[in-house]
Amino acid sequence: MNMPSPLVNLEKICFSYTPERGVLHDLSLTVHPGCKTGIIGDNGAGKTTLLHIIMGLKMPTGGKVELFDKTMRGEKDFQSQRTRIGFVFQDAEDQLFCPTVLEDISFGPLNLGLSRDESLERARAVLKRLDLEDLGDRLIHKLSGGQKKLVSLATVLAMHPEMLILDEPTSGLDRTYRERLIQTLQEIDLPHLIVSHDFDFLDRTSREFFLLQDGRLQPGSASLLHSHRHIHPLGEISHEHGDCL
Amino acid sequence: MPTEQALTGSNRADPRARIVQAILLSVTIAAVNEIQAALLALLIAPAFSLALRVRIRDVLPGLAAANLFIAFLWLAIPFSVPGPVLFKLGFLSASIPGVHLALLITLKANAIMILFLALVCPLPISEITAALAALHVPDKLLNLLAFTFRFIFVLEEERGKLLRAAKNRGFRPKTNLHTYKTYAYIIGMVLIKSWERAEKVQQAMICRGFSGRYPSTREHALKRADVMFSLATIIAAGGIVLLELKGT
Repeated sequence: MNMPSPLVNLEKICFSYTPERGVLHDLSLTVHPGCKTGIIGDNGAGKTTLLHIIMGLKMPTGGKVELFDKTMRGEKDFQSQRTRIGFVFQDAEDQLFCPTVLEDISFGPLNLGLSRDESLERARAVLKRLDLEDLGDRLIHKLSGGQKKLVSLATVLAMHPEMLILDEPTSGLDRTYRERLIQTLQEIDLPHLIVSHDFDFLDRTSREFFLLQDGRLQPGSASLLHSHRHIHPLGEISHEHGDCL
Repeated sequence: MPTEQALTGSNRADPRARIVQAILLSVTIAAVNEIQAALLALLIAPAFSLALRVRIRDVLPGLAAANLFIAFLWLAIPFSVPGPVLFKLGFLSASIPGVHLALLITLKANAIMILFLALVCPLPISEITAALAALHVPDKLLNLLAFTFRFIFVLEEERGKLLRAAKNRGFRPKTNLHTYKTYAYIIGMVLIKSWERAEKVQQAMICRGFSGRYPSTREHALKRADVMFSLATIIAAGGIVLLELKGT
């Protein structure tokens, strides 16, 4: 079978903050077009570090990063490729920095060189697609946490990325917005890489699973995820597995 | 405060014109030394509020705050400027030039406050930054302004969180070293968190293709009404200057 060239290809990535304590050891990962990949890992396992290395926000101490079939050698290489990946940060507060929602969403398209009108049009189209039309003129600091999360997804979607990377997307989300995020991700249908420790969320959004442990990725499966013993708070109240744990 | 509903109806004068007018008039007023000229300014200022249909309830809180500050000036200035005595309060004597100066400051400060509350304050922050950009204010300053507005609430929240965490563990502010140390820690943590936040925001901006220039989504065109409005401002400023010159 002739595989199309991968979107992201990491080869033997090493990373450490201090010489004594390495975070990633010879980590390899390939995301092909159409891949919906979920990565699970404990706090401090290096999940966010891994994502930052893909985006070129941190430079690995060893190994090779390839984006869209090009080897990334430095900031210049990343500059031209990273806008093709939509990266949603863990904390929406970090991602949204403009006074109003429309301005924030049009920031990316403007950076891509689109005109004012085209950018605003894109921003409105994305808001409409995510069913957030009424938020356009709102001030960002007055939005709820869930709204901020969806708006930060909108800010990267407006750049028409070829894939999405989401860092702990459900942290701090309530049931309603968590469900909305799942629905949205299913509808968008872009290849993605999601890092989370919300098993059910990953199960419903991703098809391939990895466990990040000891600086390496180990392949897993959805059924494996569910063989974990987990505790439900308020377990005596009947619940479905799509619900928030 | 700028609200999302601001700038509706007739309240649509060009933001650039508004800012230039506010600066022109307030510089003129600030330079005035004659009571008559300051009085004229205080009469002109509400006319702008009326013309721009500013609601009184949007003006009063700002004015009250400014005048509270001015009230303290009245406690000191009349008694500290040397000159012929106007009246005596116990061993303190208020001088004519002292009262004159305090009155002048009061009139001028109120006129300028009313002008800014009418011309600049109703603008949403995004309009202000866009207008300043159109007036060729450097990008760096504009970014500072926009980011300050966006993140001041986040920092306030951060400070609140830390303070609540401290209270949760029985912290009660008193006048002692423990209190000062705790406050110092909280301020230090807010600074560190701001730094970390700034780093992450920058990374997020880079991920969205930011390369140093802050793109703006607004374009402005001067309308006839703006030109007329600006002319009125120039005439008003001229009137104040004329009264000032006549007085000296």
